[in-house]
Amino acid sequence: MAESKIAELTTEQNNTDSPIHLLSVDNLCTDFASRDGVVHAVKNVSYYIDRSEILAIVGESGSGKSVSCYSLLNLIPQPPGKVVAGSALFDGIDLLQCTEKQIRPIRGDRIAMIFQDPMTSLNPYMSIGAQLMEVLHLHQSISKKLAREKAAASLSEVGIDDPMQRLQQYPHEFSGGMRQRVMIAMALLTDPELLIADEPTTALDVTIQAQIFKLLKDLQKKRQLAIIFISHDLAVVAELADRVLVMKDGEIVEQGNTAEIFSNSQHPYTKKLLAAIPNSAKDKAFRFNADVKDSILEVNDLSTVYSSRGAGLFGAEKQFKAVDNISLYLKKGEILGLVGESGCGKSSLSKTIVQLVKASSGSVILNGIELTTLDNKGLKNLRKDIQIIFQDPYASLNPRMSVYDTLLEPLKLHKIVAPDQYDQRIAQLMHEVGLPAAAIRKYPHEFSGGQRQRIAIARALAVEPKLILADEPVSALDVTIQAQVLSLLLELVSKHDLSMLFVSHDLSVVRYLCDRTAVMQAGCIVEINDTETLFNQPQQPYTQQLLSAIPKLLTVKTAEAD
Amino acid sequence: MSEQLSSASTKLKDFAEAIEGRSLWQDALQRLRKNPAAMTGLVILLSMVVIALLTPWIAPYSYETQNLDIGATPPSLQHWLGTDTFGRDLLTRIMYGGRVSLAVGFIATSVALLIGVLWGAVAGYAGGKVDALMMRIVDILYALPFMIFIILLMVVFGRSILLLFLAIGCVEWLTMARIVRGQVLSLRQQEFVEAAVAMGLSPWQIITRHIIPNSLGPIIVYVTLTIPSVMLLEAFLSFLGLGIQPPQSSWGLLISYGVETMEEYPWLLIYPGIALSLTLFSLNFLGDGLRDALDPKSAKE
Repeated sequence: MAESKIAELTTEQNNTDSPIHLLSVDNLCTDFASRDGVVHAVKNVSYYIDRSEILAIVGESGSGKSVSCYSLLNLIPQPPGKVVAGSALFDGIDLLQCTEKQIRPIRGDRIAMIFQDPMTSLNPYMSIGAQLMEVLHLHQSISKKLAREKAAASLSEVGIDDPMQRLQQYPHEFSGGMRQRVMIAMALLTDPELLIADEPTTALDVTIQAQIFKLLKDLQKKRQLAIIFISHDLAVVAELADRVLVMKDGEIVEQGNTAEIFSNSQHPYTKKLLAAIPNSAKDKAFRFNADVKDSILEVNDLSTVYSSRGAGLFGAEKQFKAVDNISLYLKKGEILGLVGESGCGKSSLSKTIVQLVKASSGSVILNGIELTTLDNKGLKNLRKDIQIIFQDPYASLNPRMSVYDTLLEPLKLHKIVAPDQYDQRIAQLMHEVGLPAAAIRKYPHEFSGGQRQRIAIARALAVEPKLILADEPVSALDVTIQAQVLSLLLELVSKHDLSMLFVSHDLSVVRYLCDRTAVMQAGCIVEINDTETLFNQPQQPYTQQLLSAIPKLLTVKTAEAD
Repeated sequence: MSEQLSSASTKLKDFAEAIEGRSLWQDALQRLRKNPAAMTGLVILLSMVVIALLTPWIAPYSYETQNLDIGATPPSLQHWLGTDTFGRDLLTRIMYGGRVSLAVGFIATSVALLIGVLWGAVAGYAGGKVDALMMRIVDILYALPFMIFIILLMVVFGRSILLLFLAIGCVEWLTMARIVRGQVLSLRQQEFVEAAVAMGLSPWQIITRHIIPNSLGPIIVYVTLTIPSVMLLEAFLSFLGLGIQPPQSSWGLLISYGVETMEEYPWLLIYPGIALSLTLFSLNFLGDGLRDALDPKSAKE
């Protein structure tokens, strides 16, 4: 009795509040059964979205932001997942009461989705045209010719030239950004009213991201499309969304207009998220004391050529120049940033410097010693001076070695300390990177991404290197974790008087961290300068283009800071 | 710095407790102990090995003593598992047969394992021309008809049990090499291997410490499949007169003999069959247990 009254009340509220919401979600609860008991992935979440509105749902990984949307469309794996309570009214239909059969005509037709990784969400064995037309045939009964025309029209709508030609092509013939456009075109084919975009630009470069945003905004205006935009990145959202929902541990901690959230956030978690966005020159002053000492690393006219063989033993050789005549230097105690879009050769450059990849020509001089011509033994001794931290902390640790073994290996190999001091040194390393000593026996998969990156940093520090190459060390991490790892790196660099080459595609991170910055494009360095000078007065057109693609919030914020 | 050192050393005590039993193998052993099926398999296998080793002293009869007066008799108090058509005690023959079969199974598989894993790992890690050359050798050996290869070996080196082990091992390593190479090719791209290179480990250290431990899963599964097939292969070769010679015996031979007389004297098939199946079951359980125990991810309760 009482329950039905409450139900009545809430529906009434809905009606009086805003009868025209396109989608209104009420008290959604989703649980996941796991070995450690039930996890409440989404707790009492309520939100709404109107036509031609962009709603952003922001939170770190595991905050329930994706689950809260997937639950609506019956897309969570069941079991272990289960929608426990709540309602989701979409144009008068309660999605949560629908059976799989009832929801299928809505999903993909009136509510469309795009996913994070455009590399894996298209079928590599089907042409783009076939995939687009499959969607149409699924939801509408139309002729092949009409379907083809519609598919071509939607491709040109998302800004792909020569659509008729492109329909014949296969996914590998498209770049990452282009594939995401194809995904958007596919989502729009059926003229949906609501588009759910789950981190659609996370895997893309910053300039491509800017283009995709513009496209989404245009579509929203033109088609009166409502978009739910799921992201972990507040800066990205600021540029795009009308309203923002901040989620943490399955609950909505704050919601409101974008401007309100950014200028006047109430909840401490939102403030923390905002503070975690690296911005400009803070923290810079305390460490930029690296005077003109002698340089620790010199790279002269370095080139790296990858040659790949054709099929078979006798296939013809193909060559690709990943690093093209690059020269740079690094002073003691300095952090040099290296930015560029994916495929520009920045990772190849750093791998060539640490001699993971053989240089084709040029020289790498570390502390006065030429690395490229060293024999294996000499190289082994030098390896301890130069260490690398990789991008993906899930791949860079041996899954079958405990933390202890991982850290012990370099100590033993280079005889850093006497054998009876191993345990003490390892405990000290763990302490330095902020990991509990009790975790020493655990294996990598038992740690979170941020903790794993700390282990990787500890491993690099174990040999007491003089130079660290960090290859996108934070781009796989959540934004608050990112900030912690960055400040850990900064602290360690100044404590141990290290030099660091910091490779990143994220300009704001580079600006926060680096003393000097080099911009790379197609294997060459196009511009290199003091970070502040480079960001304030970019000389080269490519640099200017990169900088203008940074999400707006940052530029606003830094302007205020100045 | 000193502050941190002191606070670190205060933590050293619980730290020391934490690192006990820290290597992968020690951890794996601990996890294996908690797996009842695998432990049962291990116990059965070990007792079989012990019985096989002690057979000359504990066997009730001699394996060649015939008693043509009684001929084939079903199990009785004198002959627990019955006798064969020559009146020889079946239990004794199974025990002696086990010596041959287990030895063939384990030695030939070890040969295959050793050559196969090293060959595959080196080929996969070296890559390029070395890899192409090494794998072409494997292909050529694959293409040789197996029987001709073994007969050739026998003809050249004469007939001996040791050679039989080696000959079988030399054939079985080919598949192992391919499996391991495939694993290594994908592992070599992983960043933790690059990190190991950057740390200064030699290729040999990387193969033994980073690459082989991570390809153990498929290797163990393949080993548990190889041991039984090797045992049956021995029976086949013996049947052709290339392996064990009568009156010596092996499980495979006993079974093939038992099949011929299955209708009149079923126990001649059943008991050797049970001995072989029991071994294979134990092997499979142990193999599964080992694979799980060696993978830190799957073994967390």
